[in-house]
Amino acid sequence: MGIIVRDLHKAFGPKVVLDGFSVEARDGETLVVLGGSGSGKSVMLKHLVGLLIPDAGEVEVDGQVVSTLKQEELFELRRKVGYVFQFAALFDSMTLAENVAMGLRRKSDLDEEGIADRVDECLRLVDLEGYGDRAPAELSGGQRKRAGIARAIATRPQYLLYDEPTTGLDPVTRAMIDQLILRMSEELGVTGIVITHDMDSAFRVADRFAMLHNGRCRFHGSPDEIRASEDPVVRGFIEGRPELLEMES
Amino acid sequence: MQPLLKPFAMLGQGGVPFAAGIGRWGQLTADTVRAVRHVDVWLRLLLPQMARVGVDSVPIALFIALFTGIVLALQASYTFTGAIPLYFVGVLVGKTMMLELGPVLTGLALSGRVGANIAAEIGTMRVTEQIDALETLAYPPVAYLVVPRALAGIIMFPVVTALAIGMGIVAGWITAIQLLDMSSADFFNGLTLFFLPFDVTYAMIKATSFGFIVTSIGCFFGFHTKGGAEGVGDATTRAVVASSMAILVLNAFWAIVLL
Amino acid sequence: MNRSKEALVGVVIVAAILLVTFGTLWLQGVSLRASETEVTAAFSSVGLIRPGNAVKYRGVRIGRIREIEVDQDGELVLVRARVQDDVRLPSDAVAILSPESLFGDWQMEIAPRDRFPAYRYSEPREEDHLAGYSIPDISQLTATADRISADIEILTERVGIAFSEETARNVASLIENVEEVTQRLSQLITQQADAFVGVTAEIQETTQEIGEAAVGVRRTLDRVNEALARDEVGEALNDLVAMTSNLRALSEGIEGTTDQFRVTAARADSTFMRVGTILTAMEEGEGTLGRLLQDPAVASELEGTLQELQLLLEDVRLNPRRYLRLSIF
Ligand SMILES: Nc1ncnc2c1ncn2[C@@H]1O[C@H](COP(=O)(O)OP(=O)(O)OP(=O)(O)O)[C@@H](O)[C@H]1O
Ligand SMILES: [Mg+2]
Repeated sequence: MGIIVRDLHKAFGPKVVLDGFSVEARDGETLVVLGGSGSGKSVMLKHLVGLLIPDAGEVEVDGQVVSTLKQEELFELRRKVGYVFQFAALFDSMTLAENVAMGLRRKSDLDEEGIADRVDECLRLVDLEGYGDRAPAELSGGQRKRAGIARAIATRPQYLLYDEPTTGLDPVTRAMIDQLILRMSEELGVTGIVITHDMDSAFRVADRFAMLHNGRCRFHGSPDEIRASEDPVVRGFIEGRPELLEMES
Repeated sequence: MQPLLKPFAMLGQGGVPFAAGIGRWGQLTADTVRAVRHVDVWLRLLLPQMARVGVDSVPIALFIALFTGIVLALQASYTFTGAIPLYFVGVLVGKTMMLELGPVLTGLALSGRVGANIAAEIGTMRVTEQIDALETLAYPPVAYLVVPRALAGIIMFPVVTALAIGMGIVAGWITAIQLLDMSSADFFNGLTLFFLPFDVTYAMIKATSFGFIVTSIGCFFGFHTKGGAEGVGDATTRAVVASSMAILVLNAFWAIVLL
Repeated sequence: MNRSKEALVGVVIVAAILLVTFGTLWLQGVSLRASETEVTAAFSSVGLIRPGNAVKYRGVRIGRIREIEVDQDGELVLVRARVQDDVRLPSDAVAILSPESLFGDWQMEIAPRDRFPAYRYSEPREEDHLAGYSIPDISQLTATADRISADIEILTERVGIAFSEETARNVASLIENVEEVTQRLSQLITQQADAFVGVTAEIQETTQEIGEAAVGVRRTLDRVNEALARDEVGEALNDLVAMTSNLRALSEGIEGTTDQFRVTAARADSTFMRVGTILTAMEEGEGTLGRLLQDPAVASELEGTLQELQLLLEDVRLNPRRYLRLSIF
């Protein structure tokens, strides 16, 4: 059923962040969302799980309009969605293993043994084997980020939202995370939205691209289409040429 | 605007956010009551919170009560010199500890300890998106964070207060027999003379309400924390100030309603 | 969280519950030993006794008041107390409520009936309940004294017209007595003033009234002689009736507050009865008005009453705790 964002508006006080953004991630597809720093990508992503309420427009996830859901229905929907926070947002009063198990206790029917197995498996997938007893404060930024990914995928959700999953990782780990995103999509049929600034990684995982610029969707199309795009904003962004962006404004 | 009117205008400007704050606190309280139904979410967390709110607060509460009891006994004997028999020291220590100082001093001490702790913890969780993370993991944050803390407060404040009252009375008694040349019989005669079982009920009602007010205000300011470390510090200070004031107001409220 | 922390939570909670439960029971004076028994006594009114007050037998504390309630038909007040089982109470035991100290706390004393036989005990309905008597407190006394002074005033306004010389002489000495009583009262008050600030205002007022009344009597005395001839005796007689009945009420009220006073009070009582009988007889036409009015006995009996009042005041002075209470709390 996928994820559909329709004409999303959001402002914080006088600051307009989203100004009619629309995009769609079809079922089983991985959509990469590009956009400059501070363009509102994280804000957009938070609307998808009801962490923020749109000023106007709507978000449809799994066939349900998020902002109209009652609390119970919202929790039901969230059980199907995994969210990787930009800054990991690990619970710092718990160990890594407990962090990863949190979702499982709430979202799955696994018993304690099953949960422990799943936690080990997920930590292995993000190359954090043996770190289960560590507290988040004892980890590096990249390790924390990976633990956040492990926590999001642990419940094997239908939808996965990644907010910059590879930022701050070394190239090897980055490639490993890309592999993981691909596997989730291919083996489990996950519908994913990936926010990233890393173009290599973007082209590795993307089925489609969208670009958020000035609160609106500047570009929406396949990897081939974005490579062929003539739009100076898109070109400037993927080639890393600020002069093209300046021309626009 | 005329300079003379300025203070009133400022008062008015302060009044609106204050009323709005009370309203949002009421909202959180209503949410908390509703969230109690998610027993599976908060039950596991209750005992650790009871340990933090209650057990960890016992030493400070006993410490305060110890010195309060001593001072009460000494001041009572100083005040009553002459016309009034010394056994009134027992009356005063017992009545004051039970009706007023036991619950209120414990409440104030715990508003600093527990209220600040809760506001800082939840505030940090707010600014580091841990509360958002809770939501995405399908945990209702109020049931996960507020309910166990509020329940722990409601259960443990009376417990700590009871121990503090006991400590205060024992301290008063020891002071009376060691420093005031009274007999134990005198002291306990005074203690029992005007005692009513309602005194204990009254103290427990007060402590229970303080437990709820301190924890829920701590949670409230934590939940509405904005910004980073500074926001957390700010929330903590406000939580302590607001819950101390709320304790004093509530204390007067109970005195009017129940006495 | 580890096990020991959980256990600690449990320990703290249990400690607090034990403290509250046993502390409350202990402060209430509920003994945890089973060897207590309930005693119930009946009173017509109970003064300032309340639950938690001491129960004593021969001066020894043997228990506490547990509950006070008005009997079903509203005639009696039942006071229930828990007392030690091992104290053997006399078979004719009665209960007396009185102030235990100056500070408002009362006690219930259990005693054999013949220790204070003259008290008007309220007899209980049920066999195993004790008869009880509550000692009147100072406010009752002052109220009665108030009435007396008012009556003296009325009497003196009219009495001048109705007495013989001898009666006048008796009245004069009576007035002296009133003055003395007044003086004693003010003395008492100055002595106790420091301690009994609250009560003294009340007494002082009463004293003043009595004093004023006495002055009024003196003034009218001057006119006694000339009034002798006139025939306004009937009215004076009625006033006298009212006054004696008031004095009688007073003597009933204060009767028996002390062992010694009980005797004089009983004597006063019989005096008033006699006066009452004579007055009734007079109104019914037996004997002559003149005889009554010239009967020096009437005035001297009044004087007797006043003497008893003096005795009472003396007792108040010596044992103020019996009568006075201070409401500090
Ligand atoms: N809670 C908030 N209150 C006020 N302003 C906010 C809030 N959250 C985000 N903003 C503002 O919205 C804008 C977009 O923020 P957002 O975090 O979505 O950026 P982003 O596209 O994710 O950037 P980056 O790539 O650096 O993470 C920013 O200018 C930010 O200041
Ligand atoms: Mg972002």
